[in-house]
Amino acid sequence: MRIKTLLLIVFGALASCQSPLPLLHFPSGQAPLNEIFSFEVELVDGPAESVSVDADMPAHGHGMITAPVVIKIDETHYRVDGMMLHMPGYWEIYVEVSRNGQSERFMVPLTLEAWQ
Amino acid sequence: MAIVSLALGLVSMMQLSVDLTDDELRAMLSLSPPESPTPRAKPTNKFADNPKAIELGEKLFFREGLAGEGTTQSCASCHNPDLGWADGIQFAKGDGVGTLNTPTVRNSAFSNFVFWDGRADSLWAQAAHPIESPIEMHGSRLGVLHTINDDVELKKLWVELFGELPKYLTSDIGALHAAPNEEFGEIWQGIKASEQLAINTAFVKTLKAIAAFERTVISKHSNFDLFVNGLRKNDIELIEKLSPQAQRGMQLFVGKANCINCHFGPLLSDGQFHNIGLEPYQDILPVVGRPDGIEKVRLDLFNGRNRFSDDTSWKANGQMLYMISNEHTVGALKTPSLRDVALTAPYMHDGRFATLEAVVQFYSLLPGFPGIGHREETLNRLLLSDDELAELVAFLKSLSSL
Ligand code: HEC
Ligand code: HEC
Repeated sequence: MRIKTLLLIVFGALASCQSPLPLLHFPSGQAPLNEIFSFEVELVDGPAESVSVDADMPAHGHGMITAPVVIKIDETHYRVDGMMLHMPGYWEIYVEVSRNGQSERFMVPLTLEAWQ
Repeated sequence: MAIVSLALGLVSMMQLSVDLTDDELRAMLSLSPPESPTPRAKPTNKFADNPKAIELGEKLFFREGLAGEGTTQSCASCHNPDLGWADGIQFAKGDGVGTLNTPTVRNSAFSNFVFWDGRADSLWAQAAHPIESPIEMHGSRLGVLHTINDDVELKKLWVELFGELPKYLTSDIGALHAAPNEEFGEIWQGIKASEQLAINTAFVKTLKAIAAFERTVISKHSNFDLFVNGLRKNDIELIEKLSPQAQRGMQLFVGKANCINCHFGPLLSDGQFHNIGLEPYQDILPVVGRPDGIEKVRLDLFNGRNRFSDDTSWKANGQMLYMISNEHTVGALKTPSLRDVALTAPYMHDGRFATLEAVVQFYSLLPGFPGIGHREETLNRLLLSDDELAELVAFLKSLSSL
């Protein structure tokens, strides 16, 4: 599945959230399977105090085998290094954005196939 | 099933003994891509693809007594090409006997991390371990350099490639063995720091030659690859290389049995670490696995980010910066490649299963509780029929190099 389609789905699913979903920019348009990669988070509704990122495979009860590091590029762009989605299947990427002492958690689902 | 099957051609599809879904077809094709894979460039070893290093490395790999005075083994004593580059016995036998089964070195060049727990991040860093392990070759880094210095042929190749051997080897007060470990540590401490550095540097070059040779030990095309090739080319003769039974096994592998969750890609391995929930075995302490491996590889003087690497940039072995241990990685061991798996019985890290039949039976029933950590939730009891078990085994046997 392409990330754009996914973003639309999520956008629908999280419509009750106050803020619009941050945009995730993957290097080749898509998150790779079983490789270390970096991606960019774009905050569409302005600056935040901090951003953190995590990911999980809910069906398998486990998360990533790496701890990604988030680096601020500018007020609304962050780079996430050390991401690794090591298994095929359904993943959820969580982006936590803190503003004015409050944090909001966004979820971006994606499915990786063994043959991608 | 339209898209993929049309790409393959209807003639091919009609030759198949199984009715594959689009996803199953895609998965099958991914196990045998049109271009055979080659090991990735290894910037931490600048000799990795040097033909002279490969030639020297091969001689070192097969050299009995490589580890120095009083030692008898070669790498090939346990990684014997006639036994699938393993040893065919349950527990590796060197100067002592441990509790681990010898994995093959075939295709190990594809791994980012080697050993069952991944405690080495390159083949050259790995090769240091058996040389100095008391239960394996039971020698030392200095011992290896003596072996080379005393062997006319090895010395010639070594010097041509790497330059001078350390002066310490020919000094009057020189010891025969030295290494920074329990056994030879006192002697090692007695060696000047500059000499230690020269010894380590020459030792690492030697290891890099061995690694260069190991990079050439990779699987060749199997009947399964010919079959997939046949499907791509509409070649009926090739398609017939995979028996109907093995075709059904392949379908199980990529489909219902979900083996492809971990055994994916052309090597049928993700190169990652999983706890598949093997029960405690005999009175052997269960292996902690990945958490141990992560701790050790970070501290390893010979890791890809350390001073003996040919690439000490921040980019080298990026994964090492970010990997973590948690409750899910306890008991996790490396997923072996299944290419040529029929040649390397017995199976699993402790060689507990004598046959592939016993392995698939395990996955079918998932008996008992793991000796350590918890079994990955991806694994579910498959409860396969006897026919299905035999089909899976037939597929695994079709993965042998021709
Ligand atoms: C006494 C038997 C023995 C000897 C001799 C031996 N090995 Fe091994 N080898 C093993 C065992 C056992 C393991 C697994 C150990 C572990 O994972 O902790 C192993 C693991 C390996 C691996 C990792 C494979 C993988 O995919 O993870 C490589 C590569 C390897 N050996 C190469 C060598 C080289 C090179 C030499 C010679 C310098 C050598 N071995 C000597 C028994 C031996
Ligand atoms: C959750 C990941 C995972 C899944 C799914 C999985 N395996 Fe494995 N497999 C492993 C790991 C890890 C090992 C090594 C475990 C050990 O040695 O303790 C292994 C070992 C093996 C071995 C032994 C190889 C050797 O050289 O010792 C075979 C054969 C095998 N698996 C076949 C299969 C088949 C067939 C399936 C599907 C029914 C399957 N695996 C599903 C992770 C997996």
